[in-house]
Amino acid sequence: MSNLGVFSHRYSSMSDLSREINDAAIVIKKAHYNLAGKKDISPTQLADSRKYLIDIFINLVKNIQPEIHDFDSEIKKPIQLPISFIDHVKNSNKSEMTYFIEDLKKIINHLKKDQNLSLQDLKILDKMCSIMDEETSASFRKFWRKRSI
Amino acid sequence: MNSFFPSLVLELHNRCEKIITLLEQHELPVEIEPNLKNTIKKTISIKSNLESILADPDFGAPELLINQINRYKRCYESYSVIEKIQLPILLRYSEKDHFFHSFLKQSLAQINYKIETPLISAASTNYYEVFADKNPVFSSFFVPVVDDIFLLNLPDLFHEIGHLIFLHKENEMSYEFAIKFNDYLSSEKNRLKIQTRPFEPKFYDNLEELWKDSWVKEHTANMIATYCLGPSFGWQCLRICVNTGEDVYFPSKIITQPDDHPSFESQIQGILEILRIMGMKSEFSTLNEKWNQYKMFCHFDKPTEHDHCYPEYLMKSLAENVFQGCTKIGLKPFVSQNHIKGLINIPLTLDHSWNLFHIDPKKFLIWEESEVKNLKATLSKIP
Repeated sequence: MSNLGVFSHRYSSMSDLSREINDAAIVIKKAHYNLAGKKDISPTQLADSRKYLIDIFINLVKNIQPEIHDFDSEIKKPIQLPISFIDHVKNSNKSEMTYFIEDLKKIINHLKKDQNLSLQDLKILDKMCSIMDEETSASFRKFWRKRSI
Repeated sequence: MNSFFPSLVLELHNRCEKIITLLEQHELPVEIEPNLKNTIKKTISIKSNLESILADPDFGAPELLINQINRYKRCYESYSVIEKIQLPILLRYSEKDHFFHSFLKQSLAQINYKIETPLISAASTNYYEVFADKNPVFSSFFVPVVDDIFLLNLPDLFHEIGHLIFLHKENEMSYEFAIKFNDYLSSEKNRLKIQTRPFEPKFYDNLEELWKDSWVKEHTANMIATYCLGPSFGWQCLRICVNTGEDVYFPSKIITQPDDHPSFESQIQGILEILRIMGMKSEFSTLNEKWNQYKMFCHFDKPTEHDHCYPEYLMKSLAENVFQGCTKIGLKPFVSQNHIKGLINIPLTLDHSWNLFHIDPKKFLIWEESEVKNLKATLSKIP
C-alpha cells in the first residue's frame, strides 16, 4: 500500500485539467492578439474555449469565497479544482483578495459578453495557466521521487 | 529560449519515434498485445502533439510561448510515464508477470469490473502499488516479486484496483460524502469563531487537505476492496498494521506529512462498516474483536484529535456512499460470489485462505503450497 495510487490519481486529474485550461487559453489568446493561427480557429472552438474558461473561473471564485452567490445559478455541475491549485491561487493573492475576486468577476463578464479582454484579464489568464502548470509539474515530480527514478 | 525550446521539442519527438520503432519490433505473448498496441498508440499521439506544436503558425510567438512550453511539458510527462512505467514492463515481460496478468484479468472479471486488463509487473520494490491513469489500459500495477507463491498478501492487489476504480468513478463513490465533509468543516470552523475550541483553524485546513488529497482515496480503495473480498481484506489490513508496528491512531495530530495514510484505527473502522452494510455480522464481530484485543495489548492511547479527524458519522457516510457506488457501477459484492466447477473464484479463495490460516496455521502452509499450484494451473488454461 504505497502512495503511488494517490500520487498518480492526483497527477492524472491535474494534468488533464492543466492541459484543458492551457489549450483554451491558447485559443483565446490567438484570437485576442490576432495571430496567424487565428484563421484556423472555428467559431465553435472559440465559443467552447470561452465557455470552458468561464466555468473554471466561476468555480474558482466559489472555491475561494463560498459566500459569493453571484454565479450560483450558473454552476450546473461543480468542476473539481485541485485543492493545491486553489491554495496556490489564494496565497498568491492573499494581500489583495478583494481586488483579485473583482478581477475574476471582470474576466468572467468579458468572456461571457464576448468582449475584448483587458490587459488585466490576460494577466490573470496567464497567471492561472502558470499556477496550474506549476502544480501539475510539482505533482509529477512528487510521484517520480516516490518511485526513486 | 527561442532556439532551445524548438530543440527540446524536436528531441522529444525523436525519442517518441525511436520508442515506437522499438515497440513495433518487440514480440510479446498474445495476451499483452492490446497493452503493447495501446502504448504504441499513446506514443504516436504524443508525437502528433509535438508535431502540432512545431507546425503551429504561431510557434514561438512571445504572447504564446509560456502556453506552448506548458504544452510541451505535458507531452514530456506523458512520454516519461511510457518510458519509465510501461516500457520496462513490456520489454522485460516475464513468466511471473504472465501469471499476475492472468490473475488480474480473472480478478477483474470476477468482481465484474469491465476494463481491458492493465499492465502488471511482478518486480515491485515498494510492495503493492498502482500507477492509476484515467485510461485503464495505461494504468500499471506493481506487485512483490515473490507473491506468486503466497496467498495472504493478495487482497492488497484489490486495494490497488480500488484506487483505479475510484479514479474512474469518483463521483459515484464520494459525491454525497464530499458534501457532508464540506458541511462538517464549515460547521467546525464556525464553531471556532464563537466558542473556545482546543484546535486552531490551521488544524481544519490541514484536515481538509489530507482528506481531499489522500485520505478519501485510501479509505475508498479499502472499502472497494472489502466490498469485493469481504473480511479477507480486513485481516490483511490488520496484518500490515501489526507488521509495521504503527501507532493505530497515527496520524491524528495533523501536523504531519501531507501524504500520510489515514490511521489504522480509521481504516479498520471503514472496513468494518462495509462488512456491516453487507450484513456480514459474524465476520464483523470476529474482526472487531481481534482488532480491539490488538489495541488493548499494545496500549495505544487515543488522542483527543482522533475523533475530530475521522468522525464516526463521516466514516459511515463514506462507507454508505462507496457501497452505493459499487452497487451502482455493477461491481459484484463478496456476498454474491459463488464457486463454479473447474474455475477458481479468487475472492472466495482468498477468504478461504484467511479462514484456514485462523483455524490451523500449520495446515494452512501446506494447503497454500498446493493451492498456489492449482491456481497457476487453472489460470494458465484461461486464454
